[in-house]
Amino acid sequence: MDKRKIRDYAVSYSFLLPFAVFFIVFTLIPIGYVFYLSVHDGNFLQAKFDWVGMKNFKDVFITPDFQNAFKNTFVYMLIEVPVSQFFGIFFALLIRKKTRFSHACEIIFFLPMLISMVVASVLISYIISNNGPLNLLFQFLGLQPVSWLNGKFSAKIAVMILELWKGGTFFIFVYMSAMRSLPADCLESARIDGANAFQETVHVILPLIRNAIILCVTMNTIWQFQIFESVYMLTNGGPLGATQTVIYEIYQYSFKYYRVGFGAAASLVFLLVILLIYGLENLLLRERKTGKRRAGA
Amino acid sequence: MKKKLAMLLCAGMVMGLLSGCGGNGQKADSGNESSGSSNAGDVSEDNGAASGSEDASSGEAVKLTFWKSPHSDREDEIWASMIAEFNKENPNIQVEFLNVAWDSVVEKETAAFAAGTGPDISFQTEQFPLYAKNGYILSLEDYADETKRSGYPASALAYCSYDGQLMGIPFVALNSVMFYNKDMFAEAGITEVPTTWDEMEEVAKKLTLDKDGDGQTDQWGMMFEMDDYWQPLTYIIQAGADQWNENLTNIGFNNEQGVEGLTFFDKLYNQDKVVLPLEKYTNKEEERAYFYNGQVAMFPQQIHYTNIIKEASDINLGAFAIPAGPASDEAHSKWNFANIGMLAISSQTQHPDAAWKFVEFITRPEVEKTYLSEVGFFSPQLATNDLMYEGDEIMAVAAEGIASLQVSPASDYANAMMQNLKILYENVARSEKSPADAIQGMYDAMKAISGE
Amino acid sequence: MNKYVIKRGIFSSLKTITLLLLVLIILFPFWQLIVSSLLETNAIISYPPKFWPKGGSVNNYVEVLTMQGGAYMRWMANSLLVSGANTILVILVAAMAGYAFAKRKFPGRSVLLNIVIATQIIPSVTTLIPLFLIVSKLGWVNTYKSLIFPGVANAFGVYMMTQFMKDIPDSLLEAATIDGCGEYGKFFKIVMPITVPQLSLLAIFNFTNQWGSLTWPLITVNETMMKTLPLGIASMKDLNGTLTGTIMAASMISFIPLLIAFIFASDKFIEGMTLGAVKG
Repeated sequence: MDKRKIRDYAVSYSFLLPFAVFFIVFTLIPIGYVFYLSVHDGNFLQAKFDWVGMKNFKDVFITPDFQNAFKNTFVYMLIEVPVSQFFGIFFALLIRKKTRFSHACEIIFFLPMLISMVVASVLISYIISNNGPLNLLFQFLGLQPVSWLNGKFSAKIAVMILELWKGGTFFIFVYMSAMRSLPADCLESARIDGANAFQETVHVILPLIRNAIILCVTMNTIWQFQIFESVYMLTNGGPLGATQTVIYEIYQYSFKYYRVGFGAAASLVFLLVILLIYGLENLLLRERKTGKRRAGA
Repeated sequence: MKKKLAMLLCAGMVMGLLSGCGGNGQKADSGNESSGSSNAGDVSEDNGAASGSEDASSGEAVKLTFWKSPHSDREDEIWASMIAEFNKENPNIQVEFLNVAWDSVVEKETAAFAAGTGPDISFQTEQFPLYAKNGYILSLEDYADETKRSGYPASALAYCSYDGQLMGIPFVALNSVMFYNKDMFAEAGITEVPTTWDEMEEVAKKLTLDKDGDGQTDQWGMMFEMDDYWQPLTYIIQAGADQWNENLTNIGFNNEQGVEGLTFFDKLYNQDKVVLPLEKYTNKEEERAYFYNGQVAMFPQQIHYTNIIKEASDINLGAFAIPAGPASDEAHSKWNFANIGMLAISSQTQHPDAAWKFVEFITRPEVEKTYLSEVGFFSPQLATNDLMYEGDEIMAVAAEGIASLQVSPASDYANAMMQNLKILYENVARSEKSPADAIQGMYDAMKAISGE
Repeated sequence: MNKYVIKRGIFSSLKTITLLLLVLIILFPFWQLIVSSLLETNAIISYPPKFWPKGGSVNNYVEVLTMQGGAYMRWMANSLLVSGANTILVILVAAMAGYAFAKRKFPGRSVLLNIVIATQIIPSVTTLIPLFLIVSKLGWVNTYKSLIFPGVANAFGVYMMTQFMKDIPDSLLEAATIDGCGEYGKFFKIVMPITVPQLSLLAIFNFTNQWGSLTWPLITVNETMMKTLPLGIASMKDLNGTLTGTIMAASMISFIPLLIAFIFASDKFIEGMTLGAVKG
């Protein structure tokens, strides 16, 4: 009995082994190193790092650059997440029924996900440039042209335009597949009760895809927290640091200012914030489960 | 039993990992030790003469890497032909040129030196003390002999030294001039180029016009290039302030003169409104187009922009010396951004002798002139400059300054300085902060980084 | 009744118009990419913007394909090789781990799975330098190994495969055991073949991500000839600025391979992108 079990476990671990090797070397060790760095000061060019205790963490909270970066990151999140979720659900509702037209839409909505952020940033920076098409449209509509990358707020909007265009359609697909997997009888009974499209959406569909919504909101929030490449490519943090994000600052401090320990401490603080959001999501999900159980009983 | 087995398996995995990485790790470690902890002199002792002569006698090919960030979009081609020239003399030394983007050069060099895979030869500028201090750059004291050194002014050699040791051979010298559109000057009836701040302001005002009469300015006196670290600094220093403090850890212009200089910059932008406003462009192409299309008359920049401008436009291009400021001494009042780039050898290199052969060859006057004249630079070696730019009037303007080149000192914190200078100018140009507040802000930011 | 029909007609045409608007918003930048890739830089940045490549030529394309000794095609080949090799490894490794997590019992299973899942939240910039130090200790800087292997530790892939593998009926595996299949035989002869649809979803997901990755190659690759496409295009921006005709052409070409794959397997792509998310 024991012998068989041992053999069985050994086989199980052997299936894990290849992944474990990569995972330990390329994920766990680097993460451990981040913890080590966060309580040390120095740069990678020096042979040794000096122990500084919690100083780096204290610095993270008092450095204006980081306060600014945290603020910006929250602004991105607070605007981009509701907007992309609203449009995600809205357009998913529109293409929920499988028709030829909605299939064609699906294919087109998918295109931005195929290109890299580098290419997307080239495209969007052309669209929003001073002499670009977007300003022509503004002029056509009788509005003042905007120099997008020059205003503190409009540059943030520009980053969000890039993020939305490149990644926003993703949520349409998630919501679409969540809606398509809904049991048909729920919707039918609603229609028999005489609900119109709006009522049907609010009272029947949205509650049924609640889990998908929570999932998408969490995912989107975490993505927005981690914005880096779009800022790096489109604005380089400018104007006057208005588009800098936390990850961008971590990069800046670790690589450009040689404050590696500081960067490591900042990323741990940042990780804590992300974990809090995860915790919040779990709380919401659990509520849902207990609610279900109660309803069942 | 269950637990034991798990432990056994884990132990086995860990052992496997350790031995796997250990083997490689040790190799890399020992390599690192010799380069990181020992100073440059030891390294050349280790594998200097011995390995060098071995290379030569056995005829075995040596491979070197050479990193430089681009000053021209033909950088790769130019170096390919330079290296081909070098190989005629040294067929056994292969040199691999790597064009490292300016954006990421600091990240890449730091990572590479820290990992022991730094380039054998690299082009270094104001950032080099950081590498020198931590022992990543080979001292050239034993390599550069009297005859080699005698070609350079003492100031250039001093710039390339750290702790009294020569760390690189000066290779590129550049300073700044005011480029201008001759036709626009003629049209406005300006016959004399400005030589002082006041004259410059006057000329700029004359050149700032609303040509089509729609009530909006469509021609400007001057412009500063987007993301340029250096040209606006001119006013701060010409007012009598210093770029760095004594320890080269923070700014030296948080004083009256510094504020005076930055106030002049502020005036040009926000009071006289003679500078192309920031809202007019969002990228360098859009901005440069204003100068190329004759909508901006003056453009202060580094001398190698001559070639960039000439290639992209057919304006009637001229240049004059950057107008002088109010400081009492000439060193300050006539300051313009100047820099020296050097060729340095890594202390991690396996072939210091071969690397030296390359550096020595490239910096010969008749060789370096090929690169420098292609790009539009000067040489710190005055002998080379005599071979270039015969009868070129723009280069003649700059050449005057090259003879008495004043270079800002190199520092560990050069990168932080550059990033924060950009924010300083932007704060003022966008009227976000008063000049005094902007300078105080930069002082605080630098202090947060350097601790001083 | 008639009223109802009219109302429905208005409703559905509004719906179509809204959808067409989004289609336009998405397609328009792509169209502008094609147009500007055929124009000279001056024409691209001057006012008014051009919506038709009048007076255009394929010069930009010729320049992109011939610059730096044909570097562009090499970048393309590198991207294909790196993304491809990485994807194959990810699939193999993640399928094995996912199988163990989903279908086998062993001590520490849920703890290990939770650790794997938890690491997904860590932003990759955080571990960039430690990762570089490890890769350089292994002597992999500027090699394909450094581009391919670190990404194999794909926690998301393992998580996704664990979810997929849970759906395999136990009876199937039991039947195989009775037929005398060894443990590995069972995995390679039964589990892998029946999960091909799911594996291909992970493959698409992973390949697309690898194809666009920039930050890691930026740090670890040195030579021009070792660059991947995003890195190559990003480096073209360095000296000449962002919006040149050649960059537009380079961007356009880099889009073509995935576009072709997408045309042939668009349903798979759509499924692959969303299934992972829905599963979670």
